[in-house]
Amino acid sequence: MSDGGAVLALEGVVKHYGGFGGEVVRAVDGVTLSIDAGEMVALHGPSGSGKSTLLMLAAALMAPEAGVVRFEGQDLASLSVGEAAEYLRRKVGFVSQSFHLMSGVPAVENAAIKLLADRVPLRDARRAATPWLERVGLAARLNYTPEQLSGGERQRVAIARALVNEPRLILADEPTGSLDTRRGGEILALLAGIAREHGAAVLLVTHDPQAAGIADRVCMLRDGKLATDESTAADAPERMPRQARG
Amino acid sequence: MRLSGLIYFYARRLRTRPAQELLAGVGIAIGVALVFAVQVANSSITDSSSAIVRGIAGSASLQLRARDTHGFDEHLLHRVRVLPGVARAAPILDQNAALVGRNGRRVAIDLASAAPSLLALDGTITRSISLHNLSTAGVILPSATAKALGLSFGASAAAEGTPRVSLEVRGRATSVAVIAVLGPETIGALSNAMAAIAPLWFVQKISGLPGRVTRILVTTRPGAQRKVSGELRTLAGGRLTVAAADQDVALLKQAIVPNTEATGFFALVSGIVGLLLAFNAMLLTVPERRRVIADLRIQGVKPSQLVEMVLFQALCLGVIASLVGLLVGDLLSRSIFHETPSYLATAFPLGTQTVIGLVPLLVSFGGGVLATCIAAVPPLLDLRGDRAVDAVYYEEGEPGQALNKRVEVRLLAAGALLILITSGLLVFWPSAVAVAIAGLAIAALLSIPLGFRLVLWLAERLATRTSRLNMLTVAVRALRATTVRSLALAATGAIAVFGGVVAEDSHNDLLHGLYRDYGEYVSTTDLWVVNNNDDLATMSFSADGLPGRIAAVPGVANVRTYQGGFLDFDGRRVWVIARSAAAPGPIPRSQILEGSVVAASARIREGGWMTVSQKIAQGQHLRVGDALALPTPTGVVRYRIAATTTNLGWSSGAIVLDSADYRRAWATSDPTALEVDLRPGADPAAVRRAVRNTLGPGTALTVQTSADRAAQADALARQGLSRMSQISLMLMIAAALAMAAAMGTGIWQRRSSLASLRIHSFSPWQLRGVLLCEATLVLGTGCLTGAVAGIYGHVLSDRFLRLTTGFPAPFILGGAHTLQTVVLIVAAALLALTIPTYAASRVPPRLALQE
Repeated sequence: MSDGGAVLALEGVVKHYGGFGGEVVRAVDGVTLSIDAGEMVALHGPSGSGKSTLLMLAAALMAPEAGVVRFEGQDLASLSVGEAAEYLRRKVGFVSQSFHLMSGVPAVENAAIKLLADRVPLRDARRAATPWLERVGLAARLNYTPEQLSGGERQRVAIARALVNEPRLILADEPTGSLDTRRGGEILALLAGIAREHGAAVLLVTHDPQAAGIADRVCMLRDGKLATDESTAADAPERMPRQARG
Repeated sequence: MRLSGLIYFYARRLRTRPAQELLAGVGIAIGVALVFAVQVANSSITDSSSAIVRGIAGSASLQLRARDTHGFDEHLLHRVRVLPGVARAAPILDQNAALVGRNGRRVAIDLASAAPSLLALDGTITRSISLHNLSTAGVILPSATAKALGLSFGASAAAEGTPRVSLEVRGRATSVAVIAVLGPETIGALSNAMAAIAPLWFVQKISGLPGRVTRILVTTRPGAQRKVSGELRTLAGGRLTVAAADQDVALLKQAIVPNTEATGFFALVSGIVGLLLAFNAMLLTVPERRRVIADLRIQGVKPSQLVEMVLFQALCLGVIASLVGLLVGDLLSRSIFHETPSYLATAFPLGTQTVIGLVPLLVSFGGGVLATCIAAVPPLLDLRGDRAVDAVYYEEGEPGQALNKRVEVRLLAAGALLILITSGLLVFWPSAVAVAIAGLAIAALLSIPLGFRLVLWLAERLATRTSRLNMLTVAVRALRATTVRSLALAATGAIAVFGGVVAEDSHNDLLHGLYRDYGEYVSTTDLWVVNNNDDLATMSFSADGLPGRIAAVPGVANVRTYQGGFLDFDGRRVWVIARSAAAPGPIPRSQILEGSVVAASARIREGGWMTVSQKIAQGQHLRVGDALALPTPTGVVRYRIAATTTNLGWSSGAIVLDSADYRRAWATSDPTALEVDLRPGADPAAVRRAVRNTLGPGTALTVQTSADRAAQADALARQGLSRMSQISLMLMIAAALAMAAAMGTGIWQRRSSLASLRIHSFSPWQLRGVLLCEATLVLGTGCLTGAVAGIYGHVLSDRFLRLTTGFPAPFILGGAHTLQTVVLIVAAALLALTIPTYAASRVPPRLALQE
C-alpha cells in the first residue's frame, strides 16, 4: 500500500516489551499501515494483540524498536520530547474507553483541558470548546460535571476534548466499550462524520461490530501482526480516495 | 458478623489498600510514641532518684537533717541512738561535688559518706560495701559515674592498678583513689547513678568539715515512728529539720513539677498533634471506606454488621499501631529524651536510669486505640436512616470526597465557638491552658474547609489572569475533585505548624526570659570566683583570706562576698541568694512581679526584708509587706516580703536577702562566690589571669567573667529545656514526612488520570507543574491556618508557663520563626515529594488505556 499523501503511515513497525522471565513480547510486529485524510480505519483484534500499543506509537508516546511512524511525511522518531508534546497538542486527538474526565469539573472545561496545556487562556479555551460540545449534542450540558452526565454524554465530552484542537489525526481506543449498542453507534457515526467533515484521519481500536459498517477500512491485528486490511463498503472508492488511487 | 468474616474483610482491605492502612498506622504510632516517650522520660527522673535515695537509706524511715551544707556536730548521733523507739541510726555527710576523670571530663555528683553504722541499714547500695572499704581513703563509684569519667573497670582495669580521680568539694581539689566500682550485678539499676560514696571520716577530712554530718538516718522500732519523730523534733530544737528518710524524692518531685508540667504540656500538644495526624491519616481513607460500606449495603449487609466491621478494623489498626508507637517511644525515651536536666544535679541526687511505669504505658496505648476508633467513625455516618444506601456515588467530585458549602460554614462556626468557649474558660480557670490549646487545635482544623475554598478561589482568580498559570487552573480543578483528601492533608500541615509554633516559640520565650534573668543576676560584678560547675553559686568554700589577696591584685577595685544555698521550706528546695549590701541591684529588675525594684533593693539592704518567688508567696497566702518565717540553721527567723519575683529560673522558687542577714541566720561567713569589681580601664583578661594565680594550686575554684557565667547558665537552661525543642523538631519532621507520605500515596493512586493527561498532550514538566501547584496550595492552606492558630496558642502557652510554672516567659511574637516553620515544613514536604512527583509525571501513557 502506498503512503503518498497519507496523514499517518506506519512502515514495518516493531515494538517489544520485556515479559516475565526475560521473555520478549513482540506487541507490534512489523506492521505497515497508512491512513489518509478523511479516512476512518477500524482496528480489530483480540486482547493483547497490540492495538493500544499501535495507538501509542501513532501518538508519539513511545518509539518503535524498528520501522518508521510518519505523520504527514515526518518521522515521529525525530521529534524531541517538546516537539512530541506539541505534536500531540496540535495534531492529535485522543479518545479512550474510560473517558478520564476530571471529576467535579464542568464539561466545557474538561473539553478545553488540552488547550490549557497549550497556554490558551481559560476563557478562550472555554470559548473554543463550546462549539465542539454543541457539535456533539451537549449544548445544554456545558456546565454539567461528569457526575451529572450519563455514560454516553461523558464519552461525547471526551470526543469534544479530542477534537477541540481540530486534529489531523484522531486516535480512539475502544470509544464505545462502555456504551450500549445504540449509544455506541451514535458515537461511531459522530466520529466518522467529524472526520470526513474536517478531513481528519481516524484510527479506531474497537471490538464493536458496528464499526465495520461505519469505518472505511477494517484491519485485523493478531499477535502484533496486521492479519487483514479490507475495505468495508461498495462505495469504497468514494469513501476511500487513497485506496482508489492505489 | 462472625470473626472469620471480620478477618476476611480486613485482610481484603489490607491487600487492596496497604498504603492507606500503613499511612494511618504510621500517624497513630507517631502520636503514641511522642506521648509515651515524654511521659517515661519525665517519670524516670524521679524514679531513678528515688532508687538512689532508698538505696542509701535502706530501712531508715526518718532523718534529722541540717539546713545547710555545713551540717551539725556528729555527737548528736549518740543522743539520737539512745532515744526510745530508735532501732538504728547512721550519720551521713552529703556534699555537692564534682569528679574529674583522666579524660578531663568533669561530672557533677552527689558525694555521700558511709559509716559502719550505715551498712546496718541494709540499703541496696551500702549492702555492697565492706568494712574494709570504709577504712580506705578513696571513693566508691557506680559504674555509670566511672564510665562518664573514662575509667576502665573490671578484669582489664586490674592490670592498670588503682585508678585515681580528682574530687572537687568546697573549693578544694583532691586526688583520690577509686576503691571500687559497683556495677548492675551488685547494685542493679543504681549503677546508673551519678554519685560517689566515701568513708565518713574521709569526706569530713577532704571537705574541711571535721566532726560534722549533714544527716542522721533513723530506723525506728515497729510502731514507734511517730513517737521518735516527736523526740527528734525536740532534739532538733528548731535548728534542724526532721523529715522522712526519702524527703529528697518528694522535694525533687516538687522541683521538677514545672519541668514536668512544661514538658508534659508540650507532650500533650504533641500528643494532640500526633493523634490528629492519625485522625487525618484515617480521614484519607474515608472516601474509600464509604464506598465499601455502600457496596456492602447494596449486597445486603446489615448496618450493625458494618459497624462491627469498621470498629474491628479500627481496633486491629489501633492495637498494632499503638504497640509500634510504644516501641518507638521506648527508643526515644532511652535515646533522644534520655538526658536528665543538669541544673537539678546541684540540688538532688540524680540517676540516669529509664523507668517505665504502668500509667504512661496504659495512657499512651489506650489513647492510641481510642483515637483510632473515633477516627474510624465518620464513614458510619452514611448508615443514618435518612441517607440513601448508595448516596456516596451521587456526590460531586470523586465519590466520597465532597463537602458542601453549608457543612463548611457550620464547621467554621463550630471552630469560632470553640475558640470563644476555650478563651472564656481561661478567664475562670487560668491553668486550663492545655484544654484551651486542644480546643484551639481542633478549631483550626474546623476552619480549614472554608479556608481551603477561599484559597482555591483566590488561586483561580490568579490563574485566569495569565495563560502562563494554566497549570494552576488544572491543579485547582483537580483539588476541587478531591476535597476530603486535600483537606486531610491541609489539616496535617496545619497541626504540624501549630504544634511547632506553640512549642518552639514558647521554648524561645522561656530561654529568653531565663537568659535575661541570669544576665541581670550576674551583671552585678565583672568577675566571679566560684566552684567549678557551680552554676547557681550554692557550694560554699573556705575563704581563708582569699578576698584580701584578690583585692590586692592590680586592677581590682572591690571584692564582695556572695552567699547562697538551698533551703528546704514549705515542701520545696528553695534557692537562697544572699547579696552584699554594696552589690548594685541585688534583685534582677526584669523578674519583679509585685513591688518596686528600687524600694525592694533598699529594704533588703536595710536588713530584715527579702524577696520571694510569687509561687512561694501564693503558697503561704502572703503579699508584699507581710512577714514570712524561714526555718534557718539558727532557728526560725521572720523576714518581711519586699517584693515578689518569678522563680528566677530555679523551678522550686528563690529567695533574695542581704548577706548580713544570711550570715546571722546561717551562722557562717563562708562564701559560695566572690564578686570582683574591676577598676575602670583594667584589662579583664589580665586581671582574670592574675586572680586565678592567687587561687593557688589544688583549688577547685574558677574565675569567670559575668558574660561567661551568663553563657554557661544559658547553656544549662538550653540543656534543661532541650526536650521541648526536641519535641518541636520531631513533631515537624514527623508531620512533614506524614504529609509527604500521604501526598505521595495520593499522587501514586492518581497515576491513571495523570496518564490520561499525558495522552492529552501534557508533558511531564507540565504534570510536575500541576502536582507542584496542588501540593503548594494544600500545604500553604494548612500551614498558614496552623500558623495563625499557633500564634494564639503561643500566647496561651506563655501564659501557662508564667502562671502555672512561675518561670519567666515574656511573650515575644516569633514572626520570623513562624514563617521559618511554615517554609521549613512546606519545603521539607515538597522535597520529600520530589521523587513520587517525578515518578508520577513520567507515568507511561498506556496506563490510561489499560482499564
